[in-house]
Amino acid sequence: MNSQIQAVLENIDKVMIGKREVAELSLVALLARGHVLLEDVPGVGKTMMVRSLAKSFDAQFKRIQFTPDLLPSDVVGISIYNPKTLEFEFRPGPIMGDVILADEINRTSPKTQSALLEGMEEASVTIDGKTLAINQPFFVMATQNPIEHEGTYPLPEAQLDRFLLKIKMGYPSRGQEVEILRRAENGKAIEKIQAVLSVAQLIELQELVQGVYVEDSVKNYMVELATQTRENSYVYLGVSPRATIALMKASQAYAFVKGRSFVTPDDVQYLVPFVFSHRLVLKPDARYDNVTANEIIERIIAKTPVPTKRFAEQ
Amino acid sequence: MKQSLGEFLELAVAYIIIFFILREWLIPIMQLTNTGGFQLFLVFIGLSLALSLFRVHPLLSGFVKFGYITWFIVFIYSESPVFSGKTVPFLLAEWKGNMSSIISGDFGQVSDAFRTVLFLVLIWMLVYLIHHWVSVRKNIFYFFAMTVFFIATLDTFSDYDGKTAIVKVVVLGLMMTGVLFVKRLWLQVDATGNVVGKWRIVIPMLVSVLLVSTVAFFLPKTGPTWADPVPFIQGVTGQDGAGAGMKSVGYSQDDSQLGGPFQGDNTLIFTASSRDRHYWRIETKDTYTSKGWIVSEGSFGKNVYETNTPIMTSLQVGPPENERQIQLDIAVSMPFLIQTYGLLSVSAQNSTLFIQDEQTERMTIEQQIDASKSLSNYTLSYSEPVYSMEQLQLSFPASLETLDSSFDRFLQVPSQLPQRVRDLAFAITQDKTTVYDQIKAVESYFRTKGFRYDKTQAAIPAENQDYVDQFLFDTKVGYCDNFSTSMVVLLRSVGIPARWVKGFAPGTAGPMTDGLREYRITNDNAHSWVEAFIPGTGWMEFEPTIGFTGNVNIDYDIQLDSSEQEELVQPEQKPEQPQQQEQVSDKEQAKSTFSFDKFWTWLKKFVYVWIIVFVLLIISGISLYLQRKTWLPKMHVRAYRKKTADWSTFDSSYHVLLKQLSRIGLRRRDGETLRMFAERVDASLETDEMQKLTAVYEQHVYGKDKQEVDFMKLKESWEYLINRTIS
Repeated sequence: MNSQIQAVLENIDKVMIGKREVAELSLVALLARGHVLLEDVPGVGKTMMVRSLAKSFDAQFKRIQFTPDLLPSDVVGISIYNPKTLEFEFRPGPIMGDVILADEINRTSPKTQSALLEGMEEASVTIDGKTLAINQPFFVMATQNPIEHEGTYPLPEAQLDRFLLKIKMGYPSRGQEVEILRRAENGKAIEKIQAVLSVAQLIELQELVQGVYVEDSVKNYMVELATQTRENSYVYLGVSPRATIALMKASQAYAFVKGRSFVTPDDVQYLVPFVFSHRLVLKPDARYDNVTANEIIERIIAKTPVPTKRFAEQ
Repeated sequence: MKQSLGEFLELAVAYIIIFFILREWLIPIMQLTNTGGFQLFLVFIGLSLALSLFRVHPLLSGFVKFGYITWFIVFIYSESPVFSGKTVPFLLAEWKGNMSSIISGDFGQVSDAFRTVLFLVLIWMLVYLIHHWVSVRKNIFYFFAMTVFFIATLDTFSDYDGKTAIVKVVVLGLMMTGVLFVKRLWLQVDATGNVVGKWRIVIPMLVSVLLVSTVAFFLPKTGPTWADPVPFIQGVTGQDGAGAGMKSVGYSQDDSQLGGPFQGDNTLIFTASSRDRHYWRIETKDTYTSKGWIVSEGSFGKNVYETNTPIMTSLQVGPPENERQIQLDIAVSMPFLIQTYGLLSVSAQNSTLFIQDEQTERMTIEQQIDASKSLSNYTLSYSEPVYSMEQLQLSFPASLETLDSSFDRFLQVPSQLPQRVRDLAFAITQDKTTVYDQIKAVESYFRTKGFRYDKTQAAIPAENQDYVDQFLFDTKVGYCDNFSTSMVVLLRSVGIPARWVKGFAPGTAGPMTDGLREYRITNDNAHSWVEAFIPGTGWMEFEPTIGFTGNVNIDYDIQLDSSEQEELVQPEQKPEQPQQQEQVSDKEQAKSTFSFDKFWTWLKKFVYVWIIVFVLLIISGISLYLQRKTWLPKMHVRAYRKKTADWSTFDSSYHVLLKQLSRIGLRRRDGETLRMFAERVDASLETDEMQKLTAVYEQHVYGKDKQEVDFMKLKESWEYLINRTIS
C-alpha cells in the first residue's frame, strides 16, 4: 500500500472505528477527482468521515445542510450590493470549499440540487453570467437518507451519474460500538488529529493516479462489464460510457491506493458495485423478482470472463 | 500400517470364506474341462491367499508363487523329478515350443503345461483383485454376485450341476458381506477397535444367516418357475434339431444318422501308457449319405494277423529305429483293436488274432481259446511317421487326376449335395497351389469363420437337408462329426480323396512316470477326424474340429537326427510342426527378398493379433489420456527445466499449471480473477506458492513495465505446485 495513503487512512482510523473500507473508498474517489454519494441513515458517522478526511489533508471543510427552502445562491454564493463601494460584491457560497459535505441532498429542490451538481461536474459555477472556477481539490460527499420519502426530491438518474461512487456506511459491530463509546468519553477525537498531507501533495497524488497503467485487456474487461449491464433483461437503462470512464478512474485510484502501478481485474471487480449500482435503472420486473442492482452486478461479474492474458495475445 | 490382532482375525475369516468361494469356482472348471490336479490348484489358491493375508513382501510372495508354479509344472508334466538336471531343459523346451506357437498365431497349439501356467497366473491375479476388494474397498459384493452368476450360468448351459454349490456360495457370501459390512460400519463411526464389541454384532448375524439357510435348505421347494431356457433359445435360433433327444456320446458303429446333441459320459474305456500323445484310430468310413456315414458296397478282403507280426495298413510308418511301445488296458470290453498312427505290430497274449477289414481298416479281435473272454490288455508297437515337407509341397493337384479307380470311393459325394458346398470348397482351395496347402486351407477354414464347438447344440438335418450343408451355412455349431464330415465332403468336392476316421481323442494325461504317461480315455473322448490322400506322400490325418489340437507331442529328437532337417517335417500327426516350418521358411524368404506381398500376407496371417494389439493400443491410449493428470506434469517439469528462465517461459508455465490444476478439479471460474483463484488453490493445497506466482503473473499480464524477478525462485514454486497436484 502506498505509504502516504497509509498515513491518511491511519489518521482517519483514529476518528472512525471499523470504517476502513469507507475511508479507503472515499480516498479513492478523492484521488480520482470524483465525488461520493453516501447513502445511509443519520448518525453513523458520515460527517465525521468527511471531516477527518478534510483534516488529514489540511483542506478546507464546508458543510451544506440541504433543506427544502435552500436556494441555489445559498450553495454557490451571491453578489451583494455594497453601498460603500457602490459595487456588487461576490460572496462565495459553501461550494467554494475543498471538501464539502452536502448533507441530505435529496431534501432540497431540484433547482438547488442542480446548482450543486453543475459545480460537481464542471468544477465551476456560473453566477450572474460569470463563470467561476472552483479550486482544486474539490471533493463533494453528498449524503442521502434512504428511508425518508415524504417531502424529498429523489435525484434524477442523470444526476446520480455525476457521483463516482455510491457507498453505504452501515452500522458498526457491537465491539466497534463499544469502542466508539470508549472514545466518546475522552472528548472529540476529531479535534485531536493532525494533517498528514498538504493539499498540494494531494493534488500531486491525483496527478500520479492518472498515470496508473490500464492494460487493454483490462479496459476491454471494463467495457464488457458495462455492455453486460446494457444487455441484462432486468435493466431498463444500463450504465453510460461516463460510468465506464468512472470505473477506470476509480480502478486506477484503487490500484494506486493499493500501491500498484497497474490495474488488475480484482480492482475492477471490487469497484464495479460502487460505481455501477446507482447508475442502473431497473425494470419493474426486478422489483417483482426481488432482485437488486447489486445482485445483478454480482451475476454479471460471475459470468464475464476475466482476462488472463495480455490483450495482444488474446 | 500396523494391524491389530483383531483386524488380522477379521481378515483371516474373510480369506477363509473367500477360499471356499474360490473352491466353488474351481470345481466346475475342473469338471467341465476334464482337468486333473484339483488339490494342487486348491493349494495354490490357499498359498496365494495366505501370502496376501500375512502381508508377505510382494517380491518374496511373487518368488514363492513362481516357485510353486514351476514345481507344479515339472511335477505334472515332466518325466523326471524336480531336482534333476532335466528340469531346466524341460522348462526351456516347453517355453520355446509354446512361444513359437503363440508367435505363429496358433493359440490352439500351446501345450497343457502352458495352459496350466496361464490358469495359475489367472488365479494369482484374481487373488490380488480379491485382496484389493476386501482390504481396501471393503466390498466383496461384485465378486459374490459374479460367483452366483457364474454357477447359475454353468448350471443352466452345461453339464455341471450347481445345486449344492449355489447354496454354499450364498451362505458364504452372506457371511462375507455381513462381516465386511460390520467392518465398514465400524470404520464410519470411527470407534476404537473393540474386538469384543465387533463380534457381538457379527455373531448374531452369522447365526441368523446359518439359521435362515438351514431352514431354507430343508423347506419344500416348488419346481422351476421358468422353463429351462436352453431349449427355448434353441427354438428361437432355429436349432430345433435338438428335439430328437439326447444321444449318448461314445463309440457306436452306426453313423448313418449324424447330428443331434450328445451328453457327457465319463465312463472309462481304456488307459494307455505311452511316451507320446496319440490319436486312437479304430476305423474309417468312405460313403457319405447326406445324413451320415456308411460303408460302400463292394468286395474287400480281410487280412488276419497274429500277435507280434507286422501289420500292414494304408498309413505310413516312421523309421524302425524310432519304434516304441504303448501299453493299453481296456476297461470296457471292445471288439476292435485300438490302433495308433505308425502302427507296426500288436503284442497280446498268445492265440489272439486280429482280423483286418481292408475296406474300413478296422481290426476285430478274436480270441481263439476262450472267445467269451475279451482281451483286457495289449501292447502296440509303433514308429511315428515322418512326412517330408518338400514332398508335400510337390503334391500338385494335377497329379490327382492320375489316381486309379480304387480311390473313387474316397471321392464319392451324394448327387444331391448342394452346389454351394462345392462352390465353397472351390473358393477355399482356389488360390492354393499344392494339394497339401489346399487340405490345410480347408482344415483351418473352420477356425476363422465363426464356427463354434458345442456338444449340445448340434442340429439334426431335416428330411431334405444335407448334414454338411446345414452345418456349413446354417448352424455353424457342432462337434467333431460336423467338422470332420464337412471337411471330408469339402475335400472330395475339389477332387482330393478323403475319408472319415473314427476313434478316440488322446484323452486326459496323467503325470509322467519313468518316461511314460498314463492317458485315460473315456467315452467323452470318442472322436472323429479326417484322413486325406496326398499324391507322393499317402494318407495323412487332419484335425478340423475347433478345440482339438491334433497331436502336439513333438519329439525334437527326430528333427535332430534327421539329416534333411530343412525338408523334413514332423509327422502330420503333429500339425503344429509343419506350420512352424512354414513359418520359418516364410521368414527366411522374407529376409532374402523382401516383397510387399509377403509382408502383406504376413500381416494378414495375424489379423486377429493386430486387431488385439490395435484395440489394446487404443485402450491404453485412452487410459493414458484419462490419467494424464498423473504423468503429464512430470513431463512438463522435465521440459521446463531445460528451458531458459524468462517471461515467456514463465507465462507458458503458468498456463500449464492452470491447466493441470483444472485437471485435478481446481478449475478457475469465468468470473474468478487470478488472485481469487490463487487464494482458493492455496487454501486447497495448503501452500502460499500460488499467490506468489500469481502476483508476478499479474504484473506480467496487467502491468506496464516489467520488474526484475527471481525466476529461479518462481520455478521452485512452480515445480512445488505441479508436484503437489500429483501427490
